[in-house]
Amino acid sequence: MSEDNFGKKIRFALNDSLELEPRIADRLELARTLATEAHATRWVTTVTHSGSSREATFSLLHDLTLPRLLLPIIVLIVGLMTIQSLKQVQTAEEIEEIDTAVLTGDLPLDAYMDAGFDAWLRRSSR
Amino acid sequence: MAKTLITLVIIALGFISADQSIAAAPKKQQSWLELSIEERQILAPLESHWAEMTTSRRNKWVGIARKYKTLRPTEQENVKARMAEWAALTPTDRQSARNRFKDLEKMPPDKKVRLTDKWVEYQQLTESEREELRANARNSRAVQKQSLSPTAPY
Repeated sequence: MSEDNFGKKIRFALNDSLELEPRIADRLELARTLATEAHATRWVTTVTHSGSSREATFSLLHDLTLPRLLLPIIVLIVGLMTIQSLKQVQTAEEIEEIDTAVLTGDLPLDAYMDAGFDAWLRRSSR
Repeated sequence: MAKTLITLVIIALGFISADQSIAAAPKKQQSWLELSIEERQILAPLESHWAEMTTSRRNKWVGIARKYKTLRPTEQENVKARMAEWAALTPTDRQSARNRFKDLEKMPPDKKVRLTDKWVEYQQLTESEREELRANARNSRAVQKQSLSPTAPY
């Protein structure tokens, strides 16, 4: 016995022995109609989406991937800019500190500009 | 999703503008007349150089002028006497001088305190002796540069 025949037999058996009040039968019919309509609407929507599947796929990927890609890139750019700014500030502070020391120190500027002095100091400290 | 994206972009732009404003704050270019009277008095030897200075150099000098009050009288005299000469150097010369300063700073403290005496001693060498030392320094620097160069044979 095939599955279809078996199903039909069960259906007939149930229908024959089932005696429902008209009120209940109407409610069941209404519920069935609503359920069928709801299913049909969902199916139509799915078909419409799959009809333009390339666009839908692109749109979905676009919506999901772009922020996921952009966030780390933005974080990276902001991070790099912050590091660069801090480095610039640090370098400027270091230069100001050294220049102040050179300008205020006991050694004249010539001592820092004369490469021979440095070489002589190295030689005499050996 | 689009709203999330817009929010992210706004947050990022906020960070970037805040970051730039932090970096831009000390970078404000001050003209000579925008300096305070006290700063102009201290930096008077630089007046003729001021217009051609970059923003970072101007900021550096303003920083030095602000420290000036805290310096000892001899240090203040040194700054005044050396300021114009220092400003007139080329950027390369100034950088070389800074590098030498950093090298000298690494010397042991007992030798560092005698640097002025050493400079006097060095001045007593003949010009040819000093020139020979300078030539040696130039050569050793050239050798150093060559060995650091990525194209140098290993």
